[in-house]
Amino acid sequence: MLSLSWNARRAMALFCIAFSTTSCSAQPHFDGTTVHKVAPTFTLTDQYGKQFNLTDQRGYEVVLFFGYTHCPDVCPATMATLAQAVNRLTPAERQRVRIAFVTVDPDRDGPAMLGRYVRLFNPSFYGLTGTERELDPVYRAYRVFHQKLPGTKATGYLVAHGSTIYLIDPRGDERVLHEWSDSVDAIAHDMKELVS
Amino acid sequence: MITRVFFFACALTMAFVAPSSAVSTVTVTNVWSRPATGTGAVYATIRNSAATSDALVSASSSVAKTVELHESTPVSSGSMSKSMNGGMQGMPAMAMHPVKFIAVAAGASTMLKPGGYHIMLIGLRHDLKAGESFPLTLRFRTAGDIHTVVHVRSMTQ
Repeated sequence: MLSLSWNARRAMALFCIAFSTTSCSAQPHFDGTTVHKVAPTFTLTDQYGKQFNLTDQRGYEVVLFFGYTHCPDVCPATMATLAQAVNRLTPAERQRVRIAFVTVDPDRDGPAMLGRYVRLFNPSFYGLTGTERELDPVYRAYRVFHQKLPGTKATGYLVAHGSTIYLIDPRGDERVLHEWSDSVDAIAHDMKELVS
Repeated sequence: MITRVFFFACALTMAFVAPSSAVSTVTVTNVWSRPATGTGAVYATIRNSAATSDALVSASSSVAKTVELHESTPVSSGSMSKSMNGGMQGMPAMAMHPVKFIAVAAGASTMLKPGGYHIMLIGLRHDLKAGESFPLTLRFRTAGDIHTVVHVRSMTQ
C-alpha cells in the first residue's frame, strides 16, 4: 500500500514536471512589445462599403496599421512588410489572419481609393474608413497620433501619423506592438505565435 | 619651344574636353520603386566621387505629373504644434516633409531609403506595376543631369 502510494506519488510528480515543462514551452515568445488588454472595438467601413466590426473578427488574428493612401513612403513600406509577413505563414495560418489598413485621412480615402490601394499589397487586405466621428474614437483608443501638415501645391496636405502595428489575437486581445520599420521575420514570427 | 607650345595646346584641349567627356563624378545605383497608385516613391544609392560636395536638387519623370524630393522623419514628442488629444503621447509616429535638396558629401554616399530621403512621384499617369521600368532624370547642383531607369520591385522583395 505504502509502495503503491509512493509509486503513484512519483508518477504524479513526473506528470506534473512533464506538464509544467509543456506549459512553459507553450508560452508564446514575442519579438515585438507585449501588451495584454482587450482591444478597443470599433465599427468602420471596408473597401467594399461593408461594415467591419472588430468584435465580429473573433476567431481571427487582426493586424491594424493606421496611415493614408497619399503617403508614398512609410505606409507602403509597412504594408509591403505586412504582405511579406503574411506570405511567410502557412495557408492555414493565413486564413486566420486579417490585415486592416485604417485611414488617418478620411477626406481623401474613401472605400474605392482604399480598395485600389490595399489591392497593391494583397487582395485579402482590408482598407477601413469612416466619418471623423467614427474614426476619432478609434484613434483615441489606439493612441494614434495624426496631424495634418502643410505640403506642396502638388501633394496637398500631408499627414503625420502613428507608425505602430497592432497585433490582436483571435480572442480579441491586443497582444503585440511592432514598429513600421521592424523586420518581416519579427512580425511574421509574432503573427504565427498568435494563430498557432 | 615647339614642344612647349604643343604641351600647352594639349593641356588646353584637355581642360576644355575632359569635363564633358569624363565619367560623371556622381553615380546612381540600386534605383527602385514599389507598385503604386496615385503617388509613389523612388529610392536609390547616390555616390559622389568628387573632391567637393554635391546635391540632388530636383528630379523628373514621364510617369508622374510632379516629382519632388521629400524626407520622412520620426515625430519627436513636442515637435508638433497641437496636442495629441491627450493620451497619445509616447506612441511613435512619422512625418514627411518636402526638402529643397539632398546633399551628397565629397567621396561619400547618400542612401534614399524608406523612412528617410526619397523621391516622391505625385500624380502618377499610370499605376506602377511590379516588373516594369521607367525613366527618371536626376539633376545635381554640380554634376548636372543624370538619366537613370527605375525598376519597380514586387511587394515580396
